[in-house]
Amino acid sequence: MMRPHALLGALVIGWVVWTGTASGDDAPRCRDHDPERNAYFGDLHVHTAFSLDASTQDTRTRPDQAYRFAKGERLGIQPFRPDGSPMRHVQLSRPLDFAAVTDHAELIGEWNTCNSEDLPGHDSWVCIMYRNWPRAAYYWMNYQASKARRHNFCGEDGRICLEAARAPWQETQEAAAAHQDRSAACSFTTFPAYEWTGGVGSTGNNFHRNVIFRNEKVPALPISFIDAPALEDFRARLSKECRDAGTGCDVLVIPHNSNLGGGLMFSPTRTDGEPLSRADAADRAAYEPLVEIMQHKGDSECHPAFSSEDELCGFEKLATNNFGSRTLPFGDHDPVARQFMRRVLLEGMQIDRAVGANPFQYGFIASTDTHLGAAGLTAENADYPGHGGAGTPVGDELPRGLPDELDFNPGGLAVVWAEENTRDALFDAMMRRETYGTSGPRLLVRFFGGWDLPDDLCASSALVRTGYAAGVPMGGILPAPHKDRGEAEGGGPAFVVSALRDPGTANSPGTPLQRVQIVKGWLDGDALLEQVIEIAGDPENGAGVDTRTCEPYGTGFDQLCGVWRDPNFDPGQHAFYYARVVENPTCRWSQQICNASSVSCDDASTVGEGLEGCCSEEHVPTIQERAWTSPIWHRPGS
Amino acid sequence: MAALFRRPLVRFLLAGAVLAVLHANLWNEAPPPPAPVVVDADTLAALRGDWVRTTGRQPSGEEVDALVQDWVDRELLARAALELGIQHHDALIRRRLIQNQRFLDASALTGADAEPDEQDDLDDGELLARAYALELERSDPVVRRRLIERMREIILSRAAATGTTTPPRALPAPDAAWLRLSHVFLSRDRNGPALRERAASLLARLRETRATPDDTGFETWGDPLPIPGRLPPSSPERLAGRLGPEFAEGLHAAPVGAWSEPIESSYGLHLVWVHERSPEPDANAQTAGSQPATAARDEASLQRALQILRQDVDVIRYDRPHRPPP
Repeated sequence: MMRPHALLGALVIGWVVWTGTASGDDAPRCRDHDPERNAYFGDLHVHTAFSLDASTQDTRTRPDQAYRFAKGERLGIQPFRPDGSPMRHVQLSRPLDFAAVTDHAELIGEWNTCNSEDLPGHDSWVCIMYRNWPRAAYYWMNYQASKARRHNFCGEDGRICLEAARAPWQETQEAAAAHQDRSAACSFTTFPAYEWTGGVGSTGNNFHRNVIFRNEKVPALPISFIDAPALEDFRARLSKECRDAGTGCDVLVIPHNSNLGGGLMFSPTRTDGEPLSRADAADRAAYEPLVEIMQHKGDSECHPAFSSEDELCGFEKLATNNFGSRTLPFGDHDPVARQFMRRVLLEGMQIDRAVGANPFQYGFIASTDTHLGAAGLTAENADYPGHGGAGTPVGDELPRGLPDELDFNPGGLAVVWAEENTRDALFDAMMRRETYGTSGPRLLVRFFGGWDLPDDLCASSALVRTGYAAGVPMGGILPAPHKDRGEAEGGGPAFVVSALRDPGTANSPGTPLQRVQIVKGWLDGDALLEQVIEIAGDPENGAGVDTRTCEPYGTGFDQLCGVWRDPNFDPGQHAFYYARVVENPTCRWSQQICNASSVSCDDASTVGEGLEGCCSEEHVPTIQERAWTSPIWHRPGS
Repeated sequence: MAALFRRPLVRFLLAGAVLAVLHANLWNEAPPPPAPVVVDADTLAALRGDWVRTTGRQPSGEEVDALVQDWVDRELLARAALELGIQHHDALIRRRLIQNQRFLDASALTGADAEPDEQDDLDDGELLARAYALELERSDPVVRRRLIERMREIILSRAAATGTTTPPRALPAPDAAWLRLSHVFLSRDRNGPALRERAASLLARLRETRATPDDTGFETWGDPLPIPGRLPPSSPERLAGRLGPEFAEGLHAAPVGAWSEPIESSYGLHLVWVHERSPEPDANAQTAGSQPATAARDEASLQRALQILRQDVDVIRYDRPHRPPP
């Protein structure tokens, strides 16, 4: 039997160990730490001069400047005068909470080679072309990269260009480290990151993915599509050089622009054509918790051709369906359902049912894909400068007319629900998919699902606490109901969506909300089914915008909340549910520029150079900005 | 030889060489130096005039030099503030610019066009955008004074917090100041025209019953909002991002340890109880005995920052031969 003083000693030691653990590394360190989580707004898709496509459009922003911009500093952008001074400036009206610079890993060494006189390969004909005919180099160098081929000047096994990639990769990491706020203010978070820029097929179907690292522990070089063109090999390299390297490295991968993927981005087969096995599906899900649902190059949620009952699927649709046909006069095809996430999520559940793991159990974010280094520049106004990249470069003079392709847009934002604004907290939240995307505005959206959420939850001040305690947040998987506690006796699971409109800024107040919907997708035998349910607001509120003046009219809502219980729930069917929150209509960026340029489509003399798009049949002058939450999933037998 | 030049490959190579030379000479130049600070005859006359009005005598040569240096330093601070974009973030400057632009617009209208109601309807955002387009922030003396004042504050608070006197290239982290508060929310959507009346009556009841946010049921006193009733310590900027700029603005007048008057947000009205504010970074918190030491330290910090700002800036005085900096 233990003596009293020994017992006391053990208790003291135990108390010290326990309290030491409780207040150690896991203890909150940010002043605004909130166990019920804050919404942080950011951009996880930002290109700078290190991306060859951006560089050939004369983007000169370096990662350091991109982070400064994200934190609120003014940024000079092309075109530049001969003395190097920029002719245009941009600035965010509200700084971001977090950002990641994601330059293309492909050609990053080639970029450095062609810009550094002391590097071998600098005087190669490709680099001479790059320096003198950047637009030609843009096509040629990207074509080679899309075929996973190195240029001859990169030497044997591409060693020269791989070596040249070290410096920009190092600078990218240093910029991320320099701008990470490590004080208790936690005002800004960065992630070392890059883009793996894959292409499939003769027309370069989009296979692109952003690679986001949890912390400063990263591979020596970014693993590019040229190094690892097969997705399975790419993940194997990430595993070997990061997750399993024993260095503390951790990583997640975010695909984007399935709308330009020709239906191949979310293929149900491996690269070798074999169907995905359970291990393949689980591996993919383990690395890819999120997908970028909307950005500069359009929306990938759904398409009117496949979701004809959903009147909001025409949102920000591109004119083409694969990447190559953006620039080539051939190779386009009719849209296919698998280009859009609504279908992809359904097919993921089909695979889950067949093999026992879901490769496409994605949560949602949005981002910009800016190629100016202008992170988070999503304002839909007449000052929109275009984001470059696949868009038309501005040249040496200020662009006349519309500064971007008519079907492109300023992009969206990633929103993460986390306890605090730190790398670990945000990364963990992304891994559990507690995220949503917006098409630009800063709407605030809570979304919970559970078996016994009360019907009057919207009237409760404890909505969030109840949501976490009695359900799962966005991105979660519904647990099996506890029958012994009487769960699910009232029918299917209940969902609550609570949304606030963007509070806006002093100069630009936010737009009122119009409605909140829940989108359900489910499997019924071989049928892939979907339904959109209105749960709050008023789709017939009569709100609109006068496109001649861009003055909005009608009323909307500051906040909306709704609880909905699925009356047709079948516990044996796989299902997902996500929320969509929609603002009243406003003028799109293009219409605002058309108006600012005094274009009147009734008078051809007012349609100046570059403004022809204002009066084209393709032009959509209005937009209903929105947010998409990550889905909540029902998986039979979970 | 002429035949050689007609060959496409030769012409291609020659064109490439020309472009390469142009590229080397035009694209790779260093960024331009900052514009010089020009002390013209009017400025000098104004500085002398101010001196005479204050002292009743003409300034000596050394005193003129000191006046000019002070004016140049203030110009450099104003420029640094503009470079940081303070004119876009400072509420006082924004208000001043809106007023100026409204005045300019009113002056530009002829008597027939000048409908007072029409002018009142002008949107502040539009007015501000036009003021920026006209660069009014560079010409208004009140704005200039405010820019200088804010830049001094930023340099000094940065020096106090981090020890560095390098003028910042970006606005300081927005979380430098913070406050911890609880709030009772009243929804505009739910209460409609009765919103203000309900807020006033609830406030009166809270004050009368000496209720505090520590009381049981506090979170049920108002309308539901998916933002906690007890907020963690947050910066005014983050609060503005959550509840709107007018809410953050309204917090300036909120007392600590008591209920505020109703504060407007993007969603309705809030009765706010501020639990604590971050200490002010200025000298107000210093004891009387330490004030001279603080003032001397601030002056030294400011002078070091000014030395950096003065580097590479050319000062041109009309009454002196111009010697560009090395």
